[in-house]
Amino acid sequence: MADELKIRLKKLIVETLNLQDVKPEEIPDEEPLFGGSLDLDSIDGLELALKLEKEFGVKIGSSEESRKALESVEVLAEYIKKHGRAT
Amino acid sequence: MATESGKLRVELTTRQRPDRNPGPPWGYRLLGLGDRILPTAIADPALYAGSALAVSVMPAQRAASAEYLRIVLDRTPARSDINRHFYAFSRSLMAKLRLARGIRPAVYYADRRASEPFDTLCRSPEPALFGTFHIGHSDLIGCMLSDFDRKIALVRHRLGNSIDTDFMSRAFSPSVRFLWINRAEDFLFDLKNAIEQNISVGLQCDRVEFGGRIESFQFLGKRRLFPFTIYHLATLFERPVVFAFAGPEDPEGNIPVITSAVFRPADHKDPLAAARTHFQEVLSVLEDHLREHPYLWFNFTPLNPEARP
Repeated sequence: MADELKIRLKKLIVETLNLQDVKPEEIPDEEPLFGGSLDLDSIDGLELALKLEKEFGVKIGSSEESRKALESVEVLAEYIKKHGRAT
Repeated sequence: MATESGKLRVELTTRQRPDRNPGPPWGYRLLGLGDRILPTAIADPALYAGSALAVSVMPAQRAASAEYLRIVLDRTPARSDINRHFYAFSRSLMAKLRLARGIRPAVYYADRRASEPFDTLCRSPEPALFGTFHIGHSDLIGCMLSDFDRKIALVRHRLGNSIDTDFMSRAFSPSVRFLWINRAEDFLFDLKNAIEQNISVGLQCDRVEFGGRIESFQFLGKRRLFPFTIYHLATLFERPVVFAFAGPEDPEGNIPVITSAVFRPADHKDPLAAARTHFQEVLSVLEDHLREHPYLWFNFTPLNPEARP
C-alpha cells in the first residue's frame, strides 16, 4: 500500500512538473526533492502543492510546510497518510 | 541563479534581500511638513535642493542612477540628470504623502480606447493578476483600482520606511489593500492564499528580489532578467494578467495610465510561450516610455542583470 502510494506520487511529480528526462521509477524514495538531482524550486513546490490538494485533499498553506512535506517521496507519502483523505 | 535544468530563479531569504530605495523613516515626515508649511514657489525648489543633497549622500543609489541613465540616454549623464532623476522620485513620494491629506489626483487612461480591455476586465467580477513597475506614479493606480468594485491585494515587502504605503492604504478604498510579505520565503504561498480567496493581486514585476522564476527579455539594449512569476501564477490558477503603469503627471497634477493587452493562459496552447511574447511586448512599451521620460524609472538599484548567453 505504502509502495503503491510512493509509485503514484512519483508519477504525479513527473507528470505535474513535466520532467521529460526523468522516469518515475528513477526517483529514489529518500532523494531530496529540493536541492537534489530533481532540482525543484519554489514554483515547482507551489505547483505540486496545488496538485496534491486536488488529488489527496492535503492543504499546504505555507512555503515552510511545503518544504517539509516535499522533503522526499518517502516523507511526502507519510505526510499524505497523516493529513490526506483516503483515496 | 541559473541551474543545470535551465531554470532561472531567485530563492532569496529575507536576510539576503537586496537594497531598496532607502531613506530614513523621518524623511517622509520632513517632506510632508515642508509641503504643508512652505508656499509652492519655495517648496518645489526646496524639494529639488533636497533631492540634489540626497544625490550627494547616497553613493550607491547615485551610481545605480548613473548606470541606468547612461543606458537610457545613450550618453554619460551629467550630475543634473541624476539630480532630476532623484527629484522625479521625490515628487512621486510627495504625491503619495499628499494622499494622506486628502489630495487625490485624478488617475485616467492615457489612451481610453487602447485601455478598453483593461477597463472591461476591471469592471468584471473576474479575479486577475495586475502587473506594474516602479515607474513614475504607478503606486497611485491604486486610486483608479479603488473605483472598481473588486478586492485587490497589492504586494509589498515590509520596510522600515513604509509610511507612504500606510498613507496610501488609508486613501484607497477598503477593497484595495496591501499584502505585506514579511518573509521573502513565504511570497508564493501568501499569493496562493490570496488568489484562492478570489482576490486580485497586484505585483511589481521589475525587481529580481522575490522568490520565484526569472527569465530574460530584451530591455534597454540587452537581454535582461525580469521576474516572470506572475505568468506562472496565471497559468497555475487560470487567472488573466494585465499590466498598467503611470505616465508623467500632467500640468494639473493628474496621472495618465498606460495599460497592456489582457493575457489569458486558457487562450493559448502553450501558455508560457505566449506569456513570454506578452511580457516582451509590455517591456517594449515600457522601454519606449522610458526613452521618452527617462527620469521615471524608480529603481535606484543596479539595473536588471544581463542574461548569460
